[in-house]
Amino acid sequence: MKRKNFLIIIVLILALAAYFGYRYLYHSHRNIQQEAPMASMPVADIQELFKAGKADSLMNKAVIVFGIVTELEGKSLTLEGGVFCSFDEMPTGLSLQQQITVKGRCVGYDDLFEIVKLDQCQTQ
Amino acid sequence: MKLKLTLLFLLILYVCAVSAQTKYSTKSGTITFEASVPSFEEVKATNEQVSAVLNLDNGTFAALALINGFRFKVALMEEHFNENYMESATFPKATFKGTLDGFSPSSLTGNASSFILKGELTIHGNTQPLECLAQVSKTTDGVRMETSFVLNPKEFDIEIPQIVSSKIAKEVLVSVSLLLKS
Repeated sequence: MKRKNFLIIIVLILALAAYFGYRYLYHSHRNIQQEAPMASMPVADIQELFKAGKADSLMNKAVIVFGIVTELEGKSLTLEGGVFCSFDEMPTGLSLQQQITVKGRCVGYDDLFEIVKLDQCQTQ
Repeated sequence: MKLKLTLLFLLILYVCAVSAQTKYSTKSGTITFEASVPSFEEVKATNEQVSAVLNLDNGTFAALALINGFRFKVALMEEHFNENYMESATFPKATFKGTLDGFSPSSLTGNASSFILKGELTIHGNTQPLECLAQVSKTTDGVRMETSFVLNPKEFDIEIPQIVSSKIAKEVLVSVSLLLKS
């Protein structure tokens, strides 16, 4: 009887370990849209932060940026020539010169084009 | 006076020539790398936000990829890639600067021509020379450029811990695909 109980406990522990192990190894990707934004600011401000090297706190975090659409291409758009936003699903009905607000993950600063890059964006 | 005029003329000509440089660029190029080992989990990531500029006059080329922009299928792999291996908080980008050997605008046709791309690649704060074959062709949308090469993480001082080293290939295959527009 004792031996049987012992076996059951061992199996339970193994099952739990496997369950939590699997959950750790294959946990899902972040959902940027559900994360609280680290900052919310116009294009000029986020540009300024990156140029001054003071944007470390924004890296890899959800941010909200607002500005005027200056370029539309494929699944991405550029706000005021200073923030490049790529979308997993491009919203429809956007036009140039339109004022929009975008939430996405701050990927970093591209010094080839002097542009801040966001991905996994959605318009707000 | 005549000399001054000639000089002025030459200066104007020079300024025109400089401003007429034909640069083709993209902000949404693709880099995919794979370091899978057979029968283990796929180690593969894609960055679809690669920036690149090609000067059609002389074949000079520059590219930049933000490390955070590489997306993996497995979320944990993406975290380890950024935090432990590439240390993307300290080294946020990978860059390349170089030239397409023997390139001239007239060598650009609808059919892909091969050029040797020579330059310097900086990853994880380490710069190494790189030479690879690039296919360049002209399309209705712009200039298409494709290349692939093999990298060794050790050369860039990227340490793979012993515990996972059997699951990650020693040589990483990198493929680059760019559609550069004027």
